[in-house]
Amino acid sequence: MEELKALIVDAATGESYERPFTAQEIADREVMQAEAVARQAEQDAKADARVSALAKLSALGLTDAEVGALIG
Amino acid sequence: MAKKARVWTGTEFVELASAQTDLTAYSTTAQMNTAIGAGSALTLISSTAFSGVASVNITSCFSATYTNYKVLFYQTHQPTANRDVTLQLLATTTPATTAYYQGLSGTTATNTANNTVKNNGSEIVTCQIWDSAADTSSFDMTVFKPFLANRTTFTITNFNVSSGVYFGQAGGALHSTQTSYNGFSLATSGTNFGGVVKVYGIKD
Repeated sequence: MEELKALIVDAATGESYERPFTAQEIADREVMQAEAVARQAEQDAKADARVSALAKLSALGLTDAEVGALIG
Repeated sequence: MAKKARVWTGTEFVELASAQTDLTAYSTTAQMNTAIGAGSALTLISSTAFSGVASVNITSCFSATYTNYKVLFYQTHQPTANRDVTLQLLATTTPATTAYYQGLSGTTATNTANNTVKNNGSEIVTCQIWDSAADTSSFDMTVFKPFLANRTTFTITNFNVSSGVYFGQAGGALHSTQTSYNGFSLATSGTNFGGVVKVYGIKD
């Protein structure tokens, strides 16, 4: 696994330096990533549901234009 | 009609007399830059190109000089994982880790909704980067009154790629704590990334 680093830039002086992530920062980022994965799963589920709904409408005999008019 | 040449004296522009050959008493480059900057709506505060880091913390960019700020980011390096690029406000170097609220409405290039919401979250999502794309994602953010001890609000537009899907989003965010902040952190999790981040002060 690549080493995670932080870059700190002081905009007032232009000085900058790098340091490794702290254990707390790594733990915090893992929590944030879990939230992002959950959000992406929700998005994927909505996209899958949309595809399924469109297929069912098509199976009922609606044309693409009619489906488009229905869902905007 | 020909216009007369003008020079900056340090306080005003004056017409240059045709016989004037010595300009040493007139403008310097610094004075001219001051004159040009005085008329600009945006003043560049910080420009940082970075790579191989998981967070970039820009400190001392918010101050009493400006009330509102523009932050621009564009990606230049490919990460090793598909990730959000998130933002937290900094008080000196200490991040604010709660009280973020966000609503971004988005649409993919194939016309599927792609929204991002946060309800008392630990950060703001600015854009997303993909482990198979190096230079695709970017965002444009306006930050309202971060240095004042008021609530800080944001407007955000972005373009992204995630798992091969292109999408754009627009919306806003709030940090509801009434605290003064002088900087911000952009970060990913579990991967380093690279890009350019620019901070501008907006003339009041």
